[in-house]
Amino acid sequence: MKKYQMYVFAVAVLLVAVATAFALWADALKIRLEVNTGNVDIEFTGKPRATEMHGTQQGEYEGKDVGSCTAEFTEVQDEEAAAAGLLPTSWNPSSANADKELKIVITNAYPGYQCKISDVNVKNVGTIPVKLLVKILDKNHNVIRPEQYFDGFVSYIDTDGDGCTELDVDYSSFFSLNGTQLRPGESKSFTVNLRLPTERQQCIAEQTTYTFYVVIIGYQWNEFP
Amino acid sequence: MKPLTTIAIAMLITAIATTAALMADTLTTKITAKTGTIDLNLQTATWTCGKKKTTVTYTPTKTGNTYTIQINVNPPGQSSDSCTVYLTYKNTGTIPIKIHTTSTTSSGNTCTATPTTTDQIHPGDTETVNVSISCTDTCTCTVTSTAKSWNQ
Repeated sequence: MKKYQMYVFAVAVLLVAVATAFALWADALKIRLEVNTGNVDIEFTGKPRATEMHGTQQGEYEGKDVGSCTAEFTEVQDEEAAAAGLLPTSWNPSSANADKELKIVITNAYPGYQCKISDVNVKNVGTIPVKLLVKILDKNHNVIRPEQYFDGFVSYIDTDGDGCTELDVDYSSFFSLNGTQLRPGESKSFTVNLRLPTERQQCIAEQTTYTFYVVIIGYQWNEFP
Repeated sequence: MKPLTTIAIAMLITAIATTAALMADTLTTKITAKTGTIDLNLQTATWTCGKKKTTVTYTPTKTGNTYTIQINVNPPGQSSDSCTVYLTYKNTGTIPIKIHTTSTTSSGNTCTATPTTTDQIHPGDTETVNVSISCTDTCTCTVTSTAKSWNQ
């Protein structure tokens, strides 16, 4: 009987020793790691205003009412497709679908017609700082490389790929966004200044629709290319 | 060793999380510019001549925004006469235009179009170009009228 009690005692001691060891080991696994990522999210704000211009004066040439220009925030059906090719495949433009886009429509335009869109901002509504990058795409979503004149303040672009530049985009207006860093909650205003240049009238066809995109990409600030 | 292993795992998880956080967002501005049209149409051609028996015929040909009109003047009995031909054009495009006109004829005759550049013609409006022709015997005056945007 005493021998049996000694066995029981020995087994009990062994169990306590193992339990203690296990508890130490299990305690080491209690290190908890939690990583919460922020989000990159930018959106247009403001009330876009379209103003017809001739040179630096408001209104059409000689006070005419021939062309028209409108700007509004709306859902552009193919905007994700337009921007898709600009981002590395490993990146994640997760919030693009929810954004309203800026749609500018010019009708009955002619060489010399000019329209300026103002009162538009890009706002960082995410949780981490972003830097902005601006690209111009043609209707087939290919990047357009503008011709630059006067230190980059005026540029002509060829939106239909015929080798003849038919639109003049004020390069300094929205391209001033390039490289701009926005902290969460910050916004930056910009303008879009478009003109069908009379000096390129040989490139401007009648009864034709020219379509292009300006894509603003917000990258997390420490990964700006 | 076990704490070191835990730290290594934590670093790995952090690295994966950082990679996943390479996020971007895009905003798109779609810009569409539709151009209008420049067009003209020859509505009427009328004339007056000094002699009642002088015959006038004309043949208009249109290419793009340009009319080329051949005007034949045939005074009676190989005589001389002066005629004025009135060409009335309508702006059938969507933007205001000006019509630029030139004229030529054979030597010894005269053919003059006025105005060489019209005032602005709004869409739907008409404007008349006068062509003064002086002929000895039969002559041909060729008039070329081109519509251009009013601001060019």
